Amino acid sequence: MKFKKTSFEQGNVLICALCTILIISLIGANVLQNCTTRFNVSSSQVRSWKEALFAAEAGGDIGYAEIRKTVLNPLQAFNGWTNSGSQHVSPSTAFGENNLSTSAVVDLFYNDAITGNPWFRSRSRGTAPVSGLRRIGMDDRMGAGSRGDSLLRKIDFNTDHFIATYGPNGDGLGKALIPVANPQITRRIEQISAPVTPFEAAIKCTDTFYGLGSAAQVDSYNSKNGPYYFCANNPADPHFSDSRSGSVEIGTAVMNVNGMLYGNVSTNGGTIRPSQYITGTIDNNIPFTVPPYAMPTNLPPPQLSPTSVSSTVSITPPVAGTAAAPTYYLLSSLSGKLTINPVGGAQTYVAIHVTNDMTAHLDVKPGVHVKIFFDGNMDVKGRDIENESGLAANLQYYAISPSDPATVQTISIAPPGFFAATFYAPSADVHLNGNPDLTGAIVCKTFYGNGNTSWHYDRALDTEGDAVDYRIVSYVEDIR
Amino acid sequence: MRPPSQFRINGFTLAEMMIALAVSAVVLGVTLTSSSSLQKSFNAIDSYFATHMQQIRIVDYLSRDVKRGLVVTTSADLQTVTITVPNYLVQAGDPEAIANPALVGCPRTPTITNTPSGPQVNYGAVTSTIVYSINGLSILRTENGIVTTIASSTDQLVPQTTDVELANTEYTKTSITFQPIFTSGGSVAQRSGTTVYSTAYLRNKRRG
Repeated sequence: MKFKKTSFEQGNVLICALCTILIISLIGANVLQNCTTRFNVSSSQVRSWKEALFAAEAGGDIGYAEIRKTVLNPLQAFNGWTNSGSQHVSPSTAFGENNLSTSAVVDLFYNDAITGNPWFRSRSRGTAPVSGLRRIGMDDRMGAGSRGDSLLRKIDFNTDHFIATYGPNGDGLGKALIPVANPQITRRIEQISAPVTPFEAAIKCTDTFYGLGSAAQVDSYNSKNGPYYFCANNPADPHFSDSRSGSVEIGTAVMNVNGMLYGNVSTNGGTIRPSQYITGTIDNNIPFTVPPYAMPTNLPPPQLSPTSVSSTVSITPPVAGTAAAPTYYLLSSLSGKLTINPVGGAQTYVAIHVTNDMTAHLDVKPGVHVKIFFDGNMDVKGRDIENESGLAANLQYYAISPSDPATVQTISIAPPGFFAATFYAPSADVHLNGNPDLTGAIVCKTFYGNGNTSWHYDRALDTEGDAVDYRIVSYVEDIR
Repeated sequence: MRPPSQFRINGFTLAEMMIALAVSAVVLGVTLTSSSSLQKSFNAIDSYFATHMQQIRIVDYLSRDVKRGLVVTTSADLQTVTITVPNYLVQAGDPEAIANPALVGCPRTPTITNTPSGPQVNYGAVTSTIVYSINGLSILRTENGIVTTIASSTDQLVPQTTDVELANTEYTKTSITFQPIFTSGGSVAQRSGTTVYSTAYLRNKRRG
């Protein structure tokens, strides 16, 4: 009998092959696991951390846009937000390919003591989802054997760590475990928006400029250091440093400059060249725009009388008021003569809205701070602007821009008479005639002045006037 | 009848055994060598990657602090950066905290002061100081005396920060290099090839 030959060695080969595959698979899995952690950290977590800041800054921009509307388009400011007193909460906004989200809380936290202009704080948060696997072997310390993966970046894998630890407002109140649908990173920033005041230069016009007369001069002083006197040609004078800020800013290339300018000159594409008549810098490449001016909406209710002035009228407000809450008068016309008296010896704040043309003689007694808002045109003589304190900041004219941009608004000031005042009229054509001695500043559309005027810019106007825009002046991140 | 011997059929000759052993030894040697090389490569890549992550972390830390900084200065050797930042949170010992201990850790409402260069936003009466420095193989971040090691590597991480101050703005330029462990020559190219650059602007630059 003959036995059949069997091949037991084939089974051994199979086992060896399987063991080899198993070992190689284990090595591969180990490598993959390590790589996955690093990939998660480097790719998705770093990206999400940066994108969360982009989202938070987008929320800051949304808040900033609404803050600007409080002066540029007051009726539309914070529309669609949840408004409670001076606090405004935005709805959550989702955007971007990676489904980022942001929201902002804006509140009025400070009123300027001098101007009454509000300052706003905007707190925004941005959230970016973290893709990839959840926490794998991450550590939050740096040292031997640890890599500090989450040392910087706080990732919410299961719950929102900020609300759990510090509360929704970061003040320790209302702590709660809020589950998150997917891993995410949230970052929070706080920005402060400061009001931009209108009088940064002696003369600023967005369109054409002609003037002043050939024997005119523009210089400056600072009323905080005392009354004006000419010292722009005397470097030894203690107030010389305040005397050469009589700057002129033109938003177009059309500029005919005459007289002596103790300050800087800028145009948008003009051909002004250095000369002995301009002491400061010349820049012919500065474009700018000035937005139309709208009637402020934060004034208190108007007084019951007077409601129009067409003869000689003298008013003494019932209370001194403040810059933020002046005594407010609403007049359908203002002609004749209006005298405004202080309340006792107190600094007295008054706002007057004239819904028609301005042709009145105005007498502002010392200690009175007046803002005149008018919807129509202004046509007066220099002597009709009687500001007895001599401080330009105490008499401020604001020309409300016509709703129809095609409507021409004019301000015409004829001789005789000297005065101290400021004008903010971004939509108005200004004509200045004669040889007056003026203290103040003007913002207008076009400027024409053919007289040999002496124009003194008051550097104290830097921080005076109603807010005409806002700028972000502070940025802080809540790094918790 | 005598059955055939299975041992004789299934056995190996001496020659077969020697050939099999030789082949096995070669295969085992190749496998071990490959595994060792693979492990070295993996370690090198992992180390490079980890150090690169630390580069990014240093850059991100610096950018975050510079952005919210009021003042930034760098040392002459460009390796120590000092940043003054607002005191956003009420700290223990602050006047607000002494008056009301519950405020510790709360965000602070800023105050406004007028300066010759314009209005200034202040978070508390004092500011915080953050210093980035190198200590041996570690990069340290020290905030008000509290030290945190934000990076540590045997790969010789070297951050350098330049502070650029212009009329209306200020920014820092940072470059971070390291020497990968698997390179042997230590040439300039091997280090510069690892450089990461970053630029961050101060958003709270204080003038005057």
